[in-house]
Amino acid sequence: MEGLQLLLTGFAAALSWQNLLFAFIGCVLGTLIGVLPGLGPAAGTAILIPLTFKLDATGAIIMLAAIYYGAMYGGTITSVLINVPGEAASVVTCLDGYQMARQGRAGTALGIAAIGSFAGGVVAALALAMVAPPLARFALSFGPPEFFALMFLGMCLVTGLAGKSLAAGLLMTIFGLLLSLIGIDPVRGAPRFTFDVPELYDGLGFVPVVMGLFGVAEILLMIESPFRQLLDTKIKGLWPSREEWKRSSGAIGRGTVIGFVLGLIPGVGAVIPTFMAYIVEKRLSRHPERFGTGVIEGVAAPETANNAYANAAMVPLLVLGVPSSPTIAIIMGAFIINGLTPGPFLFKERPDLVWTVIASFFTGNVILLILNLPLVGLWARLLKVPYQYLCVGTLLFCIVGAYSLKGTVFDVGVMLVFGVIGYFLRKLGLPLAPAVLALILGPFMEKSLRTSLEMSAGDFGIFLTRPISATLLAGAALVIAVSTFKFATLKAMKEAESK
Amino acid sequence: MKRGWQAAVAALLLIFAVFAYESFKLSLSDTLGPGPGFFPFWLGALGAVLSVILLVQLHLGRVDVSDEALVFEPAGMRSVAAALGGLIAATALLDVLGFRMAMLFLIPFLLVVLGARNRTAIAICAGAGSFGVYHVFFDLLKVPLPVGIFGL
Repeated sequence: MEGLQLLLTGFAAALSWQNLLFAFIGCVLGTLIGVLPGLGPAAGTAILIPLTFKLDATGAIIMLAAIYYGAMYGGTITSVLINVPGEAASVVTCLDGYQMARQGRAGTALGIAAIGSFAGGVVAALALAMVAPPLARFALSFGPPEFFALMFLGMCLVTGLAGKSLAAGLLMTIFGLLLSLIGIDPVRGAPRFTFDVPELYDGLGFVPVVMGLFGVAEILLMIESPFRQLLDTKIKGLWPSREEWKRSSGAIGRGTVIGFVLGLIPGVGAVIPTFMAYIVEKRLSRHPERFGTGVIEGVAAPETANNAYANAAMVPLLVLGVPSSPTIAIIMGAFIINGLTPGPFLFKERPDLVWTVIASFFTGNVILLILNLPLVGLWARLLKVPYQYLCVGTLLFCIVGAYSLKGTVFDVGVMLVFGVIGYFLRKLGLPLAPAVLALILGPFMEKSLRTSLEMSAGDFGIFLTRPISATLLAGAALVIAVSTFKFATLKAMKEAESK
Repeated sequence: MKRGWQAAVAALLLIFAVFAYESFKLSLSDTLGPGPGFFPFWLGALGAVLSVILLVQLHLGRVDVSDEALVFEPAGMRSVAAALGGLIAATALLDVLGFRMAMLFLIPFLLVVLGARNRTAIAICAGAGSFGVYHVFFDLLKVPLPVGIFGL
């Protein structure tokens, strides 16, 4: 109940015209980004960060969060209309959504996706408000060893679940961690890895690096293999029939639970909840053979899970300060740019901000529903924008964003370098998520580790003698063991198949 | 694809080795506890060891990497190279020419490289992307953008 009371105070601020405007702009831009094929939530959030530079912290976070879940929904539109997922989490929606569009039911597919997203988002935001206060209170008892162990566990989860090889995931994590250590040592003040370049004394900017890895790299890939699919689907009849409602309601309920629960676990990503929600519906269905031919549950379940996940993924960030995906890491970057460190202390020091942001998830979901039901035809028309103009516009935004944070051309250069790195990493299929997470958590992790070792006079036993940190480290060891087993089993299965 | 992975891991190995070497030159510990080189040194060392292990695994074919060759479409690569060239040139000239002039040249160049042929649309985009964006960010959002030697 405490959470609900605090949420009501948050609503008072979230319903101010300024914050409603920020949520509205965020939803519009997010949906726009999601609709444009190739640009996912991570790229969209990174590219649009500069728009929030001059806003107050609350407005900036509200707008970025709205961009995030707006992009998540926007990806659905392309999945249904042209069988091209706007982002990875919408892949499963293509299976039945596109089939529905081919049968002339694109409107119903988009309608149920919007309604499911709304239901999943609102219920998940409500659950977030209930779960967050006790979790934050518990996390207040954490000292440096516990925070180190927690960040270590978060990184193990992201590393273990990303990519084709555990070793490759670990390498990308270490790469990100090392990049995050460039600059002045936060504990002793010594310059590190600056190679006498003055601009490196402040470290590599998080914004230029993620803009490069996600924004520029994505555009370079798009330039190499242009997207040329034409839209020829007509959208009509958004509201589902009574029979379709009946079939969708259970799927929406189950999708919400699956999305919320999996969203609480760092590293799971949005793809797993959507696939799991789809598989659960298929298993529970009396006609599983119809899945893939245009059944409405096949759209309702993953879309609901997708948005429930997006809202639940804010819990580890707000409560523990651990982002669970690259997009959430970018939102954490926005917190840091505004001089705030997400985590339990934020609940204590800035409850006004935290609860306004949580309340804005509700207002944002309402705005998203209003935007998406009547205006879906308008969004669909954006698919006709020639890709050349889209690419150039995005690159222009990246240049402005990279330059404007510190006002140096050096950061634009950093963005281009990481754009090329991201382009090759994407081509090779090497995971970017662990590197981005490590890049943002690196300084906090090092500080926690060194403070812990100073507390114990250099004794590593401090991590094992404190129950919470020992438990978290045991969890991390378990994740690594399970990931190793998973990769070994997959390899063995492939070898057996090839024989 | 395997060759590509080998090249990427070898590059990472080099980066880790440089970080480990540079960290070693910093103090690994002092009277207060771990020094500035402690964390990066061990990370660099661990990364180097893992890179070697991955290189061996790749050599022995024990990593699930596609046997397909890494595909670079020649026409697409030419566009990528030209776009990158334009971006690098514009970045290098950003402080000298200023945002508006640099973008006034970059935007039409990129659009033509990417295949746009409608001159009116290109001109409108160039104007909106240079002077328009400058006005929105500099004058309305108060975000500083570079002004060059011509005062533009």
